[in-house]
Amino acid sequence: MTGPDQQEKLRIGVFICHCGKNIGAVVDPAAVAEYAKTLPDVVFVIENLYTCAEPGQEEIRKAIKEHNLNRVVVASCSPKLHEPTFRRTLTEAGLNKYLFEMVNIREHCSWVHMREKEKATKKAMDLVRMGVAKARLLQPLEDITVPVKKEALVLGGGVAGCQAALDLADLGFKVNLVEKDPSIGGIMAQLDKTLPTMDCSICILGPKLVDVGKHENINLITNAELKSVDGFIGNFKVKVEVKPRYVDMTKCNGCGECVDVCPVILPNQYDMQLKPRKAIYCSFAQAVPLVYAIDKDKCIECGMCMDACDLNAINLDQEPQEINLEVGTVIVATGAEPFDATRKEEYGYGKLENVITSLEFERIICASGPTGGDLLRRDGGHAKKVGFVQCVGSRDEKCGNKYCSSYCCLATIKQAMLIKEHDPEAEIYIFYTDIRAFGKGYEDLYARGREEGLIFIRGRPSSIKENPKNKNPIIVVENTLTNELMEVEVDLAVLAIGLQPTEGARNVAQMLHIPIGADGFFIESHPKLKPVDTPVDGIYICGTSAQPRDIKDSVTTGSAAAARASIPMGAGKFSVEGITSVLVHPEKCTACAICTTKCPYGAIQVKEKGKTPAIIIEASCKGCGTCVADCPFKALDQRHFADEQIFAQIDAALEEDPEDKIISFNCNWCSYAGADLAGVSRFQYPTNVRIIRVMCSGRVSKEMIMRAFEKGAGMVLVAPCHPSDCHYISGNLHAKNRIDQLYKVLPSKGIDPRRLRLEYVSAAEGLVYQRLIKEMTEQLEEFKKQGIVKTPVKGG
Amino acid sequence: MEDIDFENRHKIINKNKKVVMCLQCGTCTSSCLIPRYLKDYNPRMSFIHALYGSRKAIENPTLWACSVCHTCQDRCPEGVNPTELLISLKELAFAEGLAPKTVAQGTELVLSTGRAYPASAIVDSARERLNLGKLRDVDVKDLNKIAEKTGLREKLNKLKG
Repeated sequence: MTGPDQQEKLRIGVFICHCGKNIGAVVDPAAVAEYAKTLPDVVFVIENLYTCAEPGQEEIRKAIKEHNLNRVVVASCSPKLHEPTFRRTLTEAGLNKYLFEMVNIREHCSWVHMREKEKATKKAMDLVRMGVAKARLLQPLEDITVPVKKEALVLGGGVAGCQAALDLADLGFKVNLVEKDPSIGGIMAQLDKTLPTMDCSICILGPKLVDVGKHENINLITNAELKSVDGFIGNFKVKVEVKPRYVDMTKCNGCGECVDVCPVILPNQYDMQLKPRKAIYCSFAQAVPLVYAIDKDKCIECGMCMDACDLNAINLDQEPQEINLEVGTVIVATGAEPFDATRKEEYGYGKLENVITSLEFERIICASGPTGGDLLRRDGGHAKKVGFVQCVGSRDEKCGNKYCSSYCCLATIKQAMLIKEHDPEAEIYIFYTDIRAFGKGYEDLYARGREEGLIFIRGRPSSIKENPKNKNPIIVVENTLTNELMEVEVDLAVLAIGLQPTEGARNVAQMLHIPIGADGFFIESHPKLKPVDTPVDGIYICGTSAQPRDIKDSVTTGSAAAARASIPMGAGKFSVEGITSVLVHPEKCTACAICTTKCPYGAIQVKEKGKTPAIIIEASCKGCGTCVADCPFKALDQRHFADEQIFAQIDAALEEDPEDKIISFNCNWCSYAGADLAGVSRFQYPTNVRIIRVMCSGRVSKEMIMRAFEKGAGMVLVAPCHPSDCHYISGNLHAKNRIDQLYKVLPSKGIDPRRLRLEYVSAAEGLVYQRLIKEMTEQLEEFKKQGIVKTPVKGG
Repeated sequence: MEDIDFENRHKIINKNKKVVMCLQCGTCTSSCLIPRYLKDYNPRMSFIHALYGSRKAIENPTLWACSVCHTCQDRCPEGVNPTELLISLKELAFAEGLAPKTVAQGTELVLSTGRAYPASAIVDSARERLNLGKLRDVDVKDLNKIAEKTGLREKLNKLKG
């Protein structure tokens, strides 16, 4: 990063706040002010009773004008509290808001050293010196604002995607809805009834599908897949490939004459292969668009459909077609896949003919399904005694799916109730581990199920055998409520299969640069507060693409994602803070692409490895600085948290008695706030810690740590967020990796590795921070005694 | 464990329909005083056996330890009415001649004297001390008629036999 503008003479103003008695009763503000006057380039120093109050702010504005200040340092409370306030003050006075540095002498000083007034005053002076050192190197910056196109892309036409598309379209945005299948509708279109109300699924979904098909703002692209995505929020450039359906969409009117003549008979996926379809087909009666498609792999090209079609809609020479879109936002609603029950071999699915999945059950019990709604076995007999096995492919480490699929418990009860509706005498067993009935009206359905006489057996079946005489499945289970073994022979066993991530999810994640969790589902930006945002601005997730969900939650998150996407599109623009990464030395960049592996946002890219230098997409950069710290060639830097600025802070902190000092690198979101909390809670700790704020622990480079040791620091602490809590997803892990590497190198440089510590501190762990500093101070004393930390001979 | 005996299940449920709501949470057993003294006593198990229509629901000898304090009934979050159910289970057991001999003896005592406790010399002296006057004989003719008509007598004989 470039140094201070040599043309411009630095004129720094320092404002020391008393904060009433909060600071003034412990730290001596007058002494600190006197000291500040001795610091280089400081031309104006004043004490305020309350700098943040209007008179205090007015003094800043006045001083900027009268003394021609071009850098401002306020020593008061935490920047997390008033940095925005003072930045505004600077803007009002016509100074760039980034020419401001805040020194925390309240939370990190007067409040935590209440009984050590002298030492606290001394520390406050050090902190002001550090602040001025950084202020001397500050550069004016501009926030980045990008225009946002008022057009969205929705990936996936299940119920979540349809809901998101409809909401955005109703808000007046243009929506491109891309669906991989020939029709929209997703898994919900295959279900017989919904829970807990027992509404007919297609009856409530059908009209929604029609609305999507007819909406003037929705461009429905079916039988298509995502090819590539480029760009960032506001302007994503998207390539979509429409696969040929061999039927001209503009001509086909869905009459179905072609189907009657087609001689090729195949199993219908929509009916879980339980019902036949032809090579030319339409998935289901309510399909949208109601246009036929030809299964080209199976078509024998006899041409009979072409003869039958009066509209000449059939075109066997159709080619894939590429569509280019430019959209402002993207909503991912790519859904999930039903668990493949054959993987749970002990349940015999695929081998035992009377073991079926819950999705097959939905088709069988549906009046428009393969048996017209009769619960028939493969031998044609009526199933009177049915056993439902829960958690098949869920909560099961062996299947790789450790999570609860959440919808199956109630779906099973619903299915059991459907059997009871058809046949009140039916005997129904439900083998479960827990019944999770958490939604509105769900407990009622569970209660109704019990009233209807469903038998709940608590226990996870170990296996399903077959009675060779009648092909009845025999479910082997321990009833854990009675400690008894049971072998229950039923006419039909239904496996309640869970949901798992789609095969294509990884591909989509790669194209969009959005992260995938250990379970294979897309991860939200924050599990509580940003449940449909992804870490990438302008990209949102909903429905079962993020986790297994039932219909209601899919619809809810579909609407939520639409609402979130409408914010930047409605505003027409999107701003990011100017603290982004920057390629300061393009000549040093070898295009090694290491930085691209550190950035969770895809904000830094290398088009051709080893050839073209890294490109920073500033609109996507969140300003964590992890790429900067890990750049082996020092080609990158971060604005406002530049290497030079942080080195200046380290040097200033260690000007006096460095061997007594602990340099603590705190991330803005967790450990800095944790130290603030220690202050607010008045948790007292020794005065020898000097905190340097970075946005993310990922910003702390090996060079920074080494610089601190070179300058004689007694100990160095790097305090990241707890492992899965990083505000920047993975910065803390990169920090840890870096420090682990450093531990191996330190002994060769004559530094005891115990002097460097990495400790996770959350924003709620003020107490942890206090204990940590106390403990490290004791440790440092011990190190000094043992000669591990050398005390220089004064004046020698 | 055998399969669910639906016939027996219906027989029990018909006596107390709320038992189907039982979630096996164990509030009843942890509220009950008896298990502190009688390790094998567990009302929750009585209800799961009832739901499965198991013979164990009525054959369970500790069933009779219930002191009918109604604490479980007060606390049951599903409104199962556990005490009522235990009483119905006892009725079914009694009808099958599965009640302990002491229950038969107690019933006999009521039918023959009109009292649940024998009127002994100790009772007489205590009453005298408290100025309550001597116990009068009770006419048990009607009581025995009821026992005859309701089939109680027959069940008692079965129990004794």
